[in-house]
Amino acid sequence: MIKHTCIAAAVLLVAQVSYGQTNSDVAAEMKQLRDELRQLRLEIQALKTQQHPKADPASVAPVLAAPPVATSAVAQTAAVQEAVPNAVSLFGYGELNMTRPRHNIADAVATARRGVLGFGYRFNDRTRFAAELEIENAVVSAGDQGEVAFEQLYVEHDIHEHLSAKMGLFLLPIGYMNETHEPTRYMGVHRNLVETAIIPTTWREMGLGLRGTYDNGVRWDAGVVTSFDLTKWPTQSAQTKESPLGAIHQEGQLAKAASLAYYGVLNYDGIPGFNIGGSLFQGGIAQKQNIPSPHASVTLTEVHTKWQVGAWDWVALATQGRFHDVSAFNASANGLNNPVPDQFRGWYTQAAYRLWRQGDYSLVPFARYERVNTALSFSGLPVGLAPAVEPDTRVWTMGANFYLHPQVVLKLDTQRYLNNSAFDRLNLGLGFHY
Amino acid sequence: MKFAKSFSSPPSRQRRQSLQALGALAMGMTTIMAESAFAAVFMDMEQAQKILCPSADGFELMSLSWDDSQLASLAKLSDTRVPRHYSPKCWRAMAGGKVAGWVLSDRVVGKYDLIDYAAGFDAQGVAVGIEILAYRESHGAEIRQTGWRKQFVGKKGPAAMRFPDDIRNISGATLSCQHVTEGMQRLSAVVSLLIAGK
Repeated sequence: MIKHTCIAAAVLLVAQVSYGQTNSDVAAEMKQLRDELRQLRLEIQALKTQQHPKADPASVAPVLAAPPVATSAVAQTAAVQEAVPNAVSLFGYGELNMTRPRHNIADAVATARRGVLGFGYRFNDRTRFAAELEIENAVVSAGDQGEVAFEQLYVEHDIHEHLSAKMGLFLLPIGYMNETHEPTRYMGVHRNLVETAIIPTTWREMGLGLRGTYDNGVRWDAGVVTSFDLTKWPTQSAQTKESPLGAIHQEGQLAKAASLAYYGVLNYDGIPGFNIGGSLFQGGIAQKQNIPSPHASVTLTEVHTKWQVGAWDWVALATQGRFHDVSAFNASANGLNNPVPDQFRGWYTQAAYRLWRQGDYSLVPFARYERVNTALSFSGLPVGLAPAVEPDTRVWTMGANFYLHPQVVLKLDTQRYLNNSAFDRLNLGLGFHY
Repeated sequence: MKFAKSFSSPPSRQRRQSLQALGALAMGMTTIMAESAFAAVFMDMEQAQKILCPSADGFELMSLSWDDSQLASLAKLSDTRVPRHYSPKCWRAMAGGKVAGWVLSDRVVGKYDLIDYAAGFDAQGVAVGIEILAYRESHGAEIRQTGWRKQFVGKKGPAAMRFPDDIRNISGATLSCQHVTEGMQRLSAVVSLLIAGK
């Protein structure tokens, strides 16, 4: 009754708007009335809840007999926004795996690879905070190899409906895996080699990023962020062969910020199931320090495409990195031990097919071919001192993801390194996200 | 002393520095030019109703509630998990005294925050459209794209809206696509129950 009276009063008020008002005045007044009405509805709802704290199961009307309870269009406004959603959210993922080398069973290893706790808080509909705290390899102490790190720690603000800004420590939107790396979201026990060795997933920087999304399927990203630090380049090559950029990343830990980096990304998603895009990252790595290559920089380019149709899922990605102005660094003592390559690159293609599905269960076999080279050429070294350029690492990965639920996956795959069978291995994994 | 290769030259460095300056300028300009108005809530229910059922001359708010067994049959019919306290809003669209269709609104979690959306169905239960009312996180906002939402149009019943077979995914927005699709399956099941109960 109270509700109907309020609605009627609101409608009468609207009807009595004076002729002297402009359209904008009327619109403003309508908006105010609408807000007041919304507030009244909330108060009525609160009163009702107090009077009937718990519904009697016997009085619950079945859906088929549901009667209409209101006929006013005004009364329906913003009904869906009545309840205030919880401002705090928890999310995360975990992955545990076992790797058994094909030719050296003694090196078989099982580890709780990653446990990630994500949490967010919404200040209002425009501004929110999110973080992901990660523990790698289960234990972190002086005598262990584990690691604790903030993978992300940022504030996001929607500037308008097509543009949002991100500030803090965040993942760069480069490639497929860097932003979306939950174990349920990729095929195989281990992350693919290209988006680990060339694109150093999970690659995060501190800074400011903008994202624009449009109804026609275009999405762009651009940002100014911290960059890499050449002085971290190790004298031993093992780390840099594994991932040149991974060896000198800063990850928001007292990151040197004298030389910044810029990135731009363009994606098209206008056709459901199809994506194509590319990105460019360019940043200084000398950090204005007194080193032999004070203008050293790095550029990373990448293109990608994905096609999901029916039970098929096909993806391809190619990326190339270049270090610039590193000749003088390579000619120094550090560089002579382990020179910085001019170029590094890789590409992969992968096909997956959902073979079987029943309820939450599904079985998705896949095959992936990758080709990677982390050091293609060197500059600045006297003839005869440059390391021999090794052939591309070529890897076949074949296996299957078995989903117990879309958020829980068991994985089994085998990897064949075509030019070095010593790395051949069998992998077993468990992953989940929530 | 001979060098194996000298890759970079001063002109290329200048080009990169120019590129950096241009990038910084573009970033600054974009922020300055951004509209101060804001619309995380993209439309209200009234606007959505007009878009989803333009022929209606009135909308009757329905009171929906279910007991446990009805929720179980809704879960079975939609082939989804029905959230506890599931309570979508439902309006019966009327035109000339006859039922012209149904407009429902609901919420689902995208990756970690809520997406408000509304869906329209004709009098036979065929989906005529879906509108995103509010989106609260940047990842997955691509579900607002017209092309993705159009996939639901013309589909009748939850079995015709399976993800990702009938409703395809958007790369990078998988969770939003999946959860909104599941929400649409539930709403479609609700509409089929409403129609069957007439």
